[in-house]
Amino acid sequence: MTGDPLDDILQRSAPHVSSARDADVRAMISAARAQAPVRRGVPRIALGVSLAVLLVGSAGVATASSVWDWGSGMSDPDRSYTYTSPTWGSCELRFGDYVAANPLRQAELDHVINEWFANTDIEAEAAPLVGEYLQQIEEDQRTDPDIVVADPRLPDLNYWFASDQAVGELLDRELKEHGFDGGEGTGLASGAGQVHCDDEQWQ
Amino acid sequence: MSRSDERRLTAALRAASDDLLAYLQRRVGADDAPDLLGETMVVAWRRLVDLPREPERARMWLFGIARGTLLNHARGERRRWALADRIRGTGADAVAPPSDEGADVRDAIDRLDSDLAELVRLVHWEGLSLVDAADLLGIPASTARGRYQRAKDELRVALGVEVG
Repeated sequence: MTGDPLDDILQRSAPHVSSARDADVRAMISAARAQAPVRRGVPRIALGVSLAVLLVGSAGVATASSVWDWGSGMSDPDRSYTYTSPTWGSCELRFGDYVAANPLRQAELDHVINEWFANTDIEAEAAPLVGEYLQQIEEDQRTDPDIVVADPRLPDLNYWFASDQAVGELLDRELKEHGFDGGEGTGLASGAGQVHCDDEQWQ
Repeated sequence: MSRSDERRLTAALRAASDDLLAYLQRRVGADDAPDLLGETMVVAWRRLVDLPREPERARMWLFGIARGTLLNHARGERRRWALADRIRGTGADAVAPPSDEGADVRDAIDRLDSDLAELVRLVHWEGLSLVDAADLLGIPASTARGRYQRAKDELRVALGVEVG
């Protein structure tokens, strides 16, 4: 309080507003995430929200994994997770382009990631998380059945996103244990992801 | 960028959504504001790499994006969101009936130069500090202080309010 009567008058002149229900906000956040167009091969989380561009980038092309054009930083097949999509068959989710904020720790970061992919039963550890993410995503989407649930690609897109989130969360935990937690100067500067499915139908 | 960025943005959006929606409603009304909130969220996701680490700076970053959607709106850009209909529906039930309370004050603010008026609205309606308001408007804090003082001087005269 300033004690200035004008301040109080100005404060009280604010037009009435309403607030949104939390469920509607969460649904809008999810929808916005799914609509934000991002270039292929950009950092993983952006990729996670970039359905539209990936769709366009691979529209109508059922390319075999061996000749699939993986994005920059996605060339290492050992940093991948394979899952079965509801209708798109076998999908390979690759993780790459992880860059340490401190260049002197890049080799250490690469070692941690490579060791984790080589020695972790990712499928077993990710399974419960995939379920949780999927449940959350579908719950959010139920708030807008007209524009979201009607999309026939949705089960595959949701499964991709849930898988991406789950494996990414596990990897993040591992990186955090090794000091790559995004902290200023010493943490993780970036990471990216990309998916390719045998029978993908992006349009 | 890591997955934690996504969690931070989700948290920032959830924390700021009420304030962003209020800001947008006060500028374009309850009908268009939910669409602009949706646009704000899409742009925020698109620019995730730019999300500031500190929560308060992240909040102001979101306000900056919301302001951008307002400028686009003023240029005539319109985009309807089905999801926004739910918020519009909520708003129709929740908004208090139109009131004349403060109407003369709002009129006085509207009669200020637009730069001064927006500064007053940001400080007194949205609760921003003068520094944050200056950042949002892209002007130096010293300029904002001068404009704010001028705005209040003019409002005192217009509304007949003595110096407190």
